[in-house]
Amino acid sequence: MDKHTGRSPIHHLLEALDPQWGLAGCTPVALHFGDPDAEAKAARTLGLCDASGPAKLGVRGEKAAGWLKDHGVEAPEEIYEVRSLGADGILARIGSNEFLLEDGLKGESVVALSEQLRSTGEGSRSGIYRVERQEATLLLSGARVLELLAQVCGLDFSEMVAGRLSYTRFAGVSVGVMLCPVAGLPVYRVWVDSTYAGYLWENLRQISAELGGRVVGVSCFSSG
Amino acid sequence: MKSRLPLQQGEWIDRSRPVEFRFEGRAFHGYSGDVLSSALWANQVRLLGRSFKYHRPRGIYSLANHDVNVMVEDSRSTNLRGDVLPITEGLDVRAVNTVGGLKHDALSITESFSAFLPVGFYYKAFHTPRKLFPFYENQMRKVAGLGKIHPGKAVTPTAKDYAFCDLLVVGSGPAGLSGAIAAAECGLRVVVVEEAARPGGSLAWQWGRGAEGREHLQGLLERASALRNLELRCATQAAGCYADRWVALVDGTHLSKLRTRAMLVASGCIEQPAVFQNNDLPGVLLGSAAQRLIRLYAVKPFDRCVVLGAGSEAYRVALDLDEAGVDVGALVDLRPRGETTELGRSVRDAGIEVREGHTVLEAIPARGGRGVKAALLCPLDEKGRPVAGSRIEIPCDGIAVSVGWAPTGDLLYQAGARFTYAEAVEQFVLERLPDCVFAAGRVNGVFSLEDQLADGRRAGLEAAKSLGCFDGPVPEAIVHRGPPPSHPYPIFEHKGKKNFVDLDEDLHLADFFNAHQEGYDNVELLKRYTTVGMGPSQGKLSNMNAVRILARLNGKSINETGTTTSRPFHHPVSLEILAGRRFHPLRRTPIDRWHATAGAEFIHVGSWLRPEYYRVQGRDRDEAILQEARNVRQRVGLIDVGTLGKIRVCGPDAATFLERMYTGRFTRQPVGKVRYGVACDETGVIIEDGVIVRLAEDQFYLTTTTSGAAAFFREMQRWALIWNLQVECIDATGHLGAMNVAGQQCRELLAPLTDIDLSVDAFPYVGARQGRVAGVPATVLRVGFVGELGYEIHVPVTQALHVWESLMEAGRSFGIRPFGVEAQRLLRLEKGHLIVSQDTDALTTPYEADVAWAIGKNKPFFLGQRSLRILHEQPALRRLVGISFGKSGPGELPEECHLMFDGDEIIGRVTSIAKRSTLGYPIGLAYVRPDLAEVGTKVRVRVESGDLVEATVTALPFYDPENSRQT
Repeated sequence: MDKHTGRSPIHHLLEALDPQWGLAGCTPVALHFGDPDAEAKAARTLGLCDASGPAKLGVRGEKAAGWLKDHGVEAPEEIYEVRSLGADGILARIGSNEFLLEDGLKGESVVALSEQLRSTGEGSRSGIYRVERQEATLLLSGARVLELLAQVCGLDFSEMVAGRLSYTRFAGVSVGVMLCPVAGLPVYRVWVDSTYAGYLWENLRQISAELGGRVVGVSCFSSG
Repeated sequence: MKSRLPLQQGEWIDRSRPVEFRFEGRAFHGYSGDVLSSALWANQVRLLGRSFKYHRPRGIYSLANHDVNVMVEDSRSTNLRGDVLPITEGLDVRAVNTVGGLKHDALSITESFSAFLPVGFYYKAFHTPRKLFPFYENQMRKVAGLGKIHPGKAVTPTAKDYAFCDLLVVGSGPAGLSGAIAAAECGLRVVVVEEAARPGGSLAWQWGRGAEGREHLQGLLERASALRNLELRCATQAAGCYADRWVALVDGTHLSKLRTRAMLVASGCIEQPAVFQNNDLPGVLLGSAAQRLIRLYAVKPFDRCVVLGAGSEAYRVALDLDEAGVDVGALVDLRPRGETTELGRSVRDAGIEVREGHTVLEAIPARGGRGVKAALLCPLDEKGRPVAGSRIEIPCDGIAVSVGWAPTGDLLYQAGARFTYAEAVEQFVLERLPDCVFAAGRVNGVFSLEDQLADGRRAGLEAAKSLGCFDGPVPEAIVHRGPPPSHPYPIFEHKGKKNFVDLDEDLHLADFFNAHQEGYDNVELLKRYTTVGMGPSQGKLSNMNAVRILARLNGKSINETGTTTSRPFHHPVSLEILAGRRFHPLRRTPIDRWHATAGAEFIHVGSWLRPEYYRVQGRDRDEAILQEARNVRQRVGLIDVGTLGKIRVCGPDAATFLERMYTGRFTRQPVGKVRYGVACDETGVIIEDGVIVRLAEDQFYLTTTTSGAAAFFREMQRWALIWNLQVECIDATGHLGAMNVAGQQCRELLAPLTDIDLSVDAFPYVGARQGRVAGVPATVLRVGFVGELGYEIHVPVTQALHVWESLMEAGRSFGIRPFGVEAQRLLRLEKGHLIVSQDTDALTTPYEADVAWAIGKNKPFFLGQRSLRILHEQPALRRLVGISFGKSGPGELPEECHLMFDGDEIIGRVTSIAKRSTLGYPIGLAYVRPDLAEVGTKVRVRVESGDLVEATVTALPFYDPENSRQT
């Protein structure tokens, strides 16, 4: 897969905004949409970002935690606990024997683990199964992000603890949400089924615009 | 603005910001901060609206959000209440419910016929002759009602949000603010909602004389603003209280669903009217309305007036009016001994005549009936009844009524509180409060300012204690001292028939007497018959008096009489705000954009959008569909089937699990093979079908129907838990894209794109292989839903578009074309394949649907097995068969669901129909009586026009019965 075969489900919606494209694995990602400084400033008010590009992997099975440990990854002990993975990725325990792994923009841990799982072989014998994870990943940030969230979800996000995953519904669609501040900026990472991503994105974008927010690129949140 | 007073301390208007607005086509001036009613009153406009039924002139009555006779509309919105509508530059409004304008409302003639229009007249007058009822109904609908909705107006999506707090305080008067501060000082996250534009509640108007009220208000607001955990929301009503302390908060623009851990209701009281002749004339208004006009809007309510009272508050009103320069002709006190407190002396010292033991019997209308000319007084006997013959007329242009209060208890009722009537205060007071719900102030029967402040603090601390944020002592509850603030029966009969009890619905006293005489002697029945309390103000000004009247008519106490049920909303809420932003989740496949660009017409399938067909220049829908189908038969087609349910089942017990879920057998299914599966519920009814692929000994991959995927996956999870099997069910529907390339040339098309050996021997029909397609990891199935050689390709959803585009590119030389859902439905119909939920219903068994062959023999168990065994022993009721209509066609053809008849007997139903097919004649699927299922039998279908058309039962499949095309 040396070609750009991947597509975020929101790709065509971003394309219309004429972004500066980058690449995460085989998938194009929108780095920014014009002046990066202005965009970083906007992200502090209310930013909406598509971070679906980096690779994801799901593993499930009674030996999944052990397999991760064997490959140098310490799995979170509690369900819904999230730990960092590699440079800027994350590893979330989403069930007693199920994990979600996602690379950051520059990370390649998930790609490597995915290959290793292929060579391990999944099944009853290995006690581990690959779970296809192709969700869209959205980032919501800024001082007014709670106002945005209050319009789509009945959860009290002001009480959300960083590093803990919650499953809830946004605008009628199931999502996973996690607070992961970046340099003091409140950032909520949202995972949504790819097939609902366009619908959710359009609603979030519309509400964001009403609140003075805008679409921003992943550069606003990347450390490097 | 002839009635505008000099600067009032604490007034809400901003005199530096004059505002010009229009009402009924005339220009007026007011100030920013004015509401429409106050600004018009300041301009000495007294006629502000017309009543609902008789179109009588109406003016300000409560100025407290309940003046539903003063409703206006602008070019965008209707039923805007004048007592809360702020005036803004350019505001241009007209009164609702008039014909010919407010002044010359043609419908005011209705009053002339009032003798013929008693309560319930339409039940009695219009039920015969029955055929004329639609006419009457139509006319009634035209005349009745308030503002008109304009359906053509653009819809503005309004935000709707969620909010959270520890304590919601309803009301920002003395009790509410002191309670909120006490709770916030204990660390609670407090939200205070105030329905008025500014905080303070009664502090802003009731306690306006002197500096006491203002000082308290200022002090409380300063303390509140210093607390970062206290949020004050003005112009926001707590519209309704729902289970688990969800409270609907509504402001001018949106609705918030607030979840609170505790609720403190300090919503105060609603001043109640007295019932006397012409008590609805413009110029008759509540004492609190007069105080609001003076204190909040600096408007002089009258030039000369009479105050009708029954407690201390009336004396406070009289003093406020006197201070505002109103000539108070008399204070008429219903009580025989009047006011014995300092207030009584103050009123007399001000030179106001006090007439104890008297009432206002009638407001004498000014010329044209649009105002008050005089008040007709009369003494009361020892039982509080007007004494016959004795009358005193006092010229005046207004009457201020201050005879008592009713608690604003809606939210408390809705939260589960219970009230009881207490004669000590002559109002309902709380008997029982639910957990974490508190009340303070006047709604709690506490009236003096000091008591309200103390009661609020008590309730705030109690709330904090209940949430574990305060462990000190909570002060004792406060009990009202002194005479009752309300009169027990401020209702006075008059020979005239305009003694209004309900201003919303134009109900007068005689209506209640008549209703009672007709047997409506129960409060709920009385409400429904008379419609008392069913107007826009929900009986805020009428329910209490209605209960009093009924209690007296029945000779029972108020508590024995009871009250009606309180339901949301407290004040009317516009539909626009209730609707909020529309969230209708919509699923799109990753190829959606491509379809749109290619001219797809989309249809909704469950929550999905799917291409129905692709538009073709110069061809209609049916032709385009037929062309797509022919292309599959003759060349090659590609369809997006990413909407199919896609589920992985893994684990040592995976095969066992599937054998229980489906009717078929899977334990001996070879790896790399596809099987068709039918799933039933416990009653043997088909609930799902699809293909099941064995990827490894312990791993299966299965597809389900598009619309049934989510429900079937939930069933799988449920049974996996119940059966306690070692099995993992993984829903991959949204994670995998899928497409089906079909047609005789698809092998040649696909071969260069994949590393999978596609040769017939290596990859036979109903085989499954994993490999790469267009460089993307894929699972490929050889299935033939459309009856041609075909490959169903499943790939990660993010790469599905790439694979699709690669196939389209590679297929160009083969004449590839995309085909939509309708062409697929036609092709599968030609092949005789059923669609679950289209060709099956909520009672269909595999025997009826002709898929009994998919039931595994000698299986130990599967869902529905027991029922199917029983059903198998019984005679079948129907069978699914193919039907055809001959090459020439019978003319009009049936639609899906049309019925078949044998004489008068229904003998079947069409489930699928194709009016045009690649076979050249119309075909369909239908359920028929089993004795009619034999091939060649003629059946008759009733079509839309009512005609019966003949169809022939035909062997399935219609197309390629030897299956030579798909192997």
